[in-house]
Amino acid sequence: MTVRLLRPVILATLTALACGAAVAGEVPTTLKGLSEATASDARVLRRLPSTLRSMRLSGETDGLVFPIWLTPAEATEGFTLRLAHVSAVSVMPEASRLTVAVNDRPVSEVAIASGGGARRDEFALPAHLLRPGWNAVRVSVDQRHRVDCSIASTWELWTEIDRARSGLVFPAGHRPDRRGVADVAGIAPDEHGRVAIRLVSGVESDPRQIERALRAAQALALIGGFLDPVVTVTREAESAPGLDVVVGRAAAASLGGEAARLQAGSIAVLDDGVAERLTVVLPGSDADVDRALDRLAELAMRPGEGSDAGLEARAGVGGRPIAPGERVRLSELGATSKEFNGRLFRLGLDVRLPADLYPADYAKVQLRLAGGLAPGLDRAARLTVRVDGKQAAGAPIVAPRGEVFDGRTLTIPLSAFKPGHNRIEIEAAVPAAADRTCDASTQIGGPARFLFVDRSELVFPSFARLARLPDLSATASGVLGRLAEESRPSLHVPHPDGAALSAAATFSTRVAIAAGRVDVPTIVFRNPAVDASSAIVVGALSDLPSTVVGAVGLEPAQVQAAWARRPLPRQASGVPTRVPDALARRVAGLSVAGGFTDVDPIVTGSLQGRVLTTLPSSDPDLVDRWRRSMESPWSPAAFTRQAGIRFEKLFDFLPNFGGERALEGFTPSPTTGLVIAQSISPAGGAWTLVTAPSSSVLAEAVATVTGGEDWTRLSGAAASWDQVEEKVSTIEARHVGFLATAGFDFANLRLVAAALASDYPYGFILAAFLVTAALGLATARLLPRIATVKP
Amino acid sequence: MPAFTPLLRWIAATIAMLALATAPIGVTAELALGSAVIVAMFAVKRLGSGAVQRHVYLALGTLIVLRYVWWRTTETLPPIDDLVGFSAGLTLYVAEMFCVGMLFISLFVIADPLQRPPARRLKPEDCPSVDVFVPSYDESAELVAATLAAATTMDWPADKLRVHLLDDGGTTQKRNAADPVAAAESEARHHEMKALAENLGAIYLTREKNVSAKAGNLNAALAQTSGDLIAVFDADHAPTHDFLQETVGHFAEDPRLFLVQTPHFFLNPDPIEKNLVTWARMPSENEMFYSVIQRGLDRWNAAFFCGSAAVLRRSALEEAGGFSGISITEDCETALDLHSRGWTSRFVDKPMIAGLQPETLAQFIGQRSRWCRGMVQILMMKNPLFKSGLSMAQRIAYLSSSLFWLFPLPRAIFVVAPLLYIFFGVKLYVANVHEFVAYTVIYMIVNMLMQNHLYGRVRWPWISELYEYIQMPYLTRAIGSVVMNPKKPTFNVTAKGVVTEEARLSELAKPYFVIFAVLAAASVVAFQRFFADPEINDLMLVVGLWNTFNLVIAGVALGVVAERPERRRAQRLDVAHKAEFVIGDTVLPVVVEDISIGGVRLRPLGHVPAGLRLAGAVGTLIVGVERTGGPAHVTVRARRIGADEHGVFWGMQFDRLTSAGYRVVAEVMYGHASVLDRFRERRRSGKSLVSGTAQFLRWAIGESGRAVQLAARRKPGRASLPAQGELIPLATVEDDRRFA
Repeated sequence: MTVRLLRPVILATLTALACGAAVAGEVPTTLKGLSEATASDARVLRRLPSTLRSMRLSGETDGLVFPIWLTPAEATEGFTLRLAHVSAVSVMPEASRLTVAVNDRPVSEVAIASGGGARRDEFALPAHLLRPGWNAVRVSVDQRHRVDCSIASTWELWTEIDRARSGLVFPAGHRPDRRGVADVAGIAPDEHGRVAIRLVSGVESDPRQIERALRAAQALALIGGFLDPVVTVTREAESAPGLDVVVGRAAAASLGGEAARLQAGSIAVLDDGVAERLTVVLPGSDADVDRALDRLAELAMRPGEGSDAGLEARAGVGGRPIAPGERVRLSELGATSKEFNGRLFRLGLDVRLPADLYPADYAKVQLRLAGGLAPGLDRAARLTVRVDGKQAAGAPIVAPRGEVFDGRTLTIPLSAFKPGHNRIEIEAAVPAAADRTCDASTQIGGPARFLFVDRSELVFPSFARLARLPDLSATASGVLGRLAEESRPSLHVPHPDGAALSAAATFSTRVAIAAGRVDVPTIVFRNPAVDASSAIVVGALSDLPSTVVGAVGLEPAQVQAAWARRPLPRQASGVPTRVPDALARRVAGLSVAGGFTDVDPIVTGSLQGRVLTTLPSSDPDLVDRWRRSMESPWSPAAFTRQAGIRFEKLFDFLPNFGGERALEGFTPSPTTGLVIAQSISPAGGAWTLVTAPSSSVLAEAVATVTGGEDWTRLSGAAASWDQVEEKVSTIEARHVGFLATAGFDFANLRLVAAALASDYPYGFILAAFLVTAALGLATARLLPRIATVKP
Repeated sequence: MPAFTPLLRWIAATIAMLALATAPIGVTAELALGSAVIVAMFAVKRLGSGAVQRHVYLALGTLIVLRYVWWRTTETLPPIDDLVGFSAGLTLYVAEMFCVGMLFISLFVIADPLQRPPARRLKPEDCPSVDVFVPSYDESAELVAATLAAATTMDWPADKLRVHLLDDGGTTQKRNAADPVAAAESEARHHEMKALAENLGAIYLTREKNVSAKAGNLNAALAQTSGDLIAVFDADHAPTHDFLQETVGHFAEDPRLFLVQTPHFFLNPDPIEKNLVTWARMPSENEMFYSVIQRGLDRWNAAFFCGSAAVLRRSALEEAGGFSGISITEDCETALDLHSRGWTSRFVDKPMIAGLQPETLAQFIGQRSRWCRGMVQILMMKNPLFKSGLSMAQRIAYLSSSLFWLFPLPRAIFVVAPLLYIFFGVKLYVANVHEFVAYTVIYMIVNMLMQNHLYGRVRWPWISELYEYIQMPYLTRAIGSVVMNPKKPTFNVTAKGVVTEEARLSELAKPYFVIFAVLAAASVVAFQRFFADPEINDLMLVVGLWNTFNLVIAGVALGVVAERPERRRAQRLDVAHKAEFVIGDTVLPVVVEDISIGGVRLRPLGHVPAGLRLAGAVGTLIVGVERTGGPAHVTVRARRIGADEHGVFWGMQFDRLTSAGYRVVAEVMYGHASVLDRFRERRRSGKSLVSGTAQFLRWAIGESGRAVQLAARRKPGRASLPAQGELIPLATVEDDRRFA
């Protein structure tokens, strides 16, 4: 039943996209008026898009950057930025500021008042700073503690922005005046910052049509700069916020009206005038659609237009991609120069390394810092670099008479990184004597202690390119799509109901976004053959034979037993088109865990959450940190640890191939909502399984896990997402295999050999012995022949 | 092409080696590799000493060296924007790479040291005629007499052997010197030498003017003689009687042969051996050169002339216009010229001369300074790389011998570099402690193992470093002066007859004390800062350890500049020669246990009559001289009566040696080359890296302490000449040997 409120209007048809300004040729037509949700405030709120960061700004200095797409009409119009925020009680208002900048130009600053609950500020964004296309909006804070000047106290400082109630505010009756495919980037995200993409299949599911629709969805997500869209597969277009993708003649016809008469092979953008939604139609025969998809995929690889800062912010969504051997200025990663007068300077940088990166100790990443130190700092002053939360480099930075440096180098071993997304945190602890008295003036207008200059650089080495699987981090970044043809997996959805298909589509789209390119595997509506080399299987546990579950290293009986203890769902849930509210999610999770039928959300959310779940309690990092804090820096253990010597690794004679019982220590509980597991198959490929207790939980959990930062936490051989803890836990891979990826040339071969040699020194040593023996023999044979005096 | 197969295989293995050497593996893997290679090297050593084991051993070491070079080149140079650090770092890097380059050149040179089979003995009628040249400048008559006596009694048909004393101290120019005293001395010498030569059956030759030093002296004699072959002995180098038998046969085997060189062997210690008291147990410094390097050079037809103890072909010399004299190392230069003309050389590794070497540091430095300057002259004026006619192997060989003498420069850089960091914070090496251990320490260990494998029998660990350090302060200047003015150096003769009478500091001691003090201060500063200053990173530890290593060498060197008194005037050689001792009417059978040109030690065989008054008595020693027929009589005076576990022995001094007496000494001392060989062999027990290092550390503490005590007690004095009436003073002449 086509219940579209408005007659769709054909905005544009594209028949050729060969020229550079691909979307510029579209011809706009007028829009009809549209009904606006009537509220007390008639203005239109467009929420901020999700990034890899949560909306919490913490510590003495922090900042968030949002790429914002504006149509030419919006860019000339000018509008405001509304921020609803709340801060920690310990934040000192006199010394704490929240600053908004557009395209690197500060526009406004407010004091952070705390204690009074949430605040709402509006900042006018002047039109002269805006450009059509991508713009960068930066929200940064400087926060100081009311009473404590210790380094530890800085961790108590935070300001949280309420995503649901913040965003760009356009005047009432705002018309975005969207003119082409690129303007999908302007679609308003939901209250989680996520964009819904609906694949309107229109007909009974046909895997080939789903593939096409998915390809279109991925391309549009890339064009739109969406980090984590929630993709659903539906029969019909809906009038909900988000993006409807209609692919194929039959689907287009189902739209009725003018949409049915669109030119085959075109890419049509239908705007019904509602700012928060848009429809993209690819009409025509399969061949027409495929041609249009190729053009769309090509468009997706273009950087788009906008201000420099905007384009950088856009490129930084999901972490800026890093090419081998690249030298990146930190300003390109969103950092800005800063004169800092607090005591703990922190800077987080998101980078995206190749999915088929083989991280090992064969190379190093250099951080070349430019900046300065004020005289008279404490001796404890120190620079620390963390990669994904783990300390990777550090050095004392004491200069009693002050120092200005350019190119102070910290070396980070490449083994500290993982394929795909990595967060590099640079931390400068600069305590001073004044901190001990902690006079208010120290906090309010103390002299600058540390200077950070954003021309500091990160210098990356050449990377060895090889898929080392299982590795969910690499998988989440698209390594499977880079495997050689024979080991590239198909996407199996054995029970293709809407929920399972949606889960598969969301998963696949998130991978494509991380990979930065359209990549849709062949979709198959059945289980993979037992002897298949590679496969990705997405489905509820009940739809999967135990062979599939066992193939990825899970114990089928164990998983079944855990999930059998879940109560039956209260009502058969359909396909969730959006991520449920966090509290609702937790309530659902708790009801699952406790078997309660009626749970008071307030109580359960705050009290019972932690009690009911049993997590593996040992936190090796914690114990390790304690041990480390007590040992002498001269002990052999400290020495070997600093050297990165992992003795057990020395005894890994050769890589351990095969997937027998790879997942020791993996115990799913009833509250486990999603399991992703991977293993090397006996046929030499990789099997990946995404499963949940039921289709609806699967769709919901995939939608949650693909969101924001959670996706970057996937790593190792298996990951599980706990519905109550709202936390991803992972299991390290113990038995790994290696699969070649594209671009396997001689230079890469050398690096791969070096990487393998670093991880498995015995193999290298064996090779060294063989070669030296050969050289010794060859020399002994050669010498009598070339000697002047023959023996 | 089967002939090319081994070469292709070798190239393939080398490429694989380079691939391994440049693989960028992590620090952990590097440490594992390094440790495994060290273990493997020990294992291969245990497998035996065949050619394959030797080359596998060296290939293992080479891998580590190459990996170090690659890492050092690609990762450790300071950034170029720190100009001071970069230039200092680059200098250090170049110095290190020079050493690595020298290592690879020496690996080539001594790839397969040649052990020559003995030469064919010629029938008397086939023997070529030999002119023996004994060039002398101002050596004492006694010394020259011993040499002439030994030379004239060499086994060779008498009609084909002529011994010439080439006296440069009695030339017309000298006899007519402006200074009447000098002229008179020269005149007296002229007559004394002439008489001495005639008594011993040698021919006295002198010339008009002292031009072109030793080369000129030899060339003058060349013009006045006509033998087929020329044997050259320095005035203190007395040959054994089989010298010609062992060498001349080679000339019959190879008509293009221009040179047969033999090792130089010394009867006295050099200052290092004397002051560290190692003479009796440690192989002499030059043994590495003669027993390993010259044999290695011989494999590539590149053994070169060392000025003495060699036989040369007259026709070759005449073709080249005589001995070359552009540089002050005329011997090596002559060989270089003749090799480039297509002549060949051979080396016979059997010591057949016994000579003397400088005993005080000042003499030692003077001698080394001349070699160094001469070899640098060759490098600058007759660079073997560009000289036509040489084979590639010969070019590398001569390059190795001449480049070796640049060692003072890297040695000086290694001493100064850590100071720059400790005192001025100049960063010249980008590495952390873990990398330093995994790369640098492993490299140093492997390097030492390779050196020990190659030279271990003839060189204790760290001794090469010590010799280099000792020469460094003065030779650095010598190199500088040659580079500024390559033609300036002249052949200077060092003071002779210098002996050390009492414990004293060498007159050259000052720089060594200064360097030691600076290094000690630097080590204190380094460790104090490392432990007290949180800002200082682990680089300070590394540099501090490196500086301390230099300090250890400098400490041992202090022991070398603190001269020990040398009580024994004439160097003795252990022998076992039966003789009879006649005192009054008593004839006692005795054994000559050791002998020098000063005297003998006798041990009576059988019963000694009671009441024999020996002290101060004069007797006659009757020694059977087999080859000259009949016993010879020598008058001796008893000086000392002693006893040890074998019973009584008597120390006897020669009363006054006649020419016949010299023949006896020559017969007993030099009659059997095996005596020298045995002595040399006895010291070659080798020393492991561990015990050598332990020994070196003990020296560093003990010897520096001794030197500091000595410095506190008295000021550096000049060496004194022996008082009149003492035992025979020993002369040392500039001798021509160079060691690599």
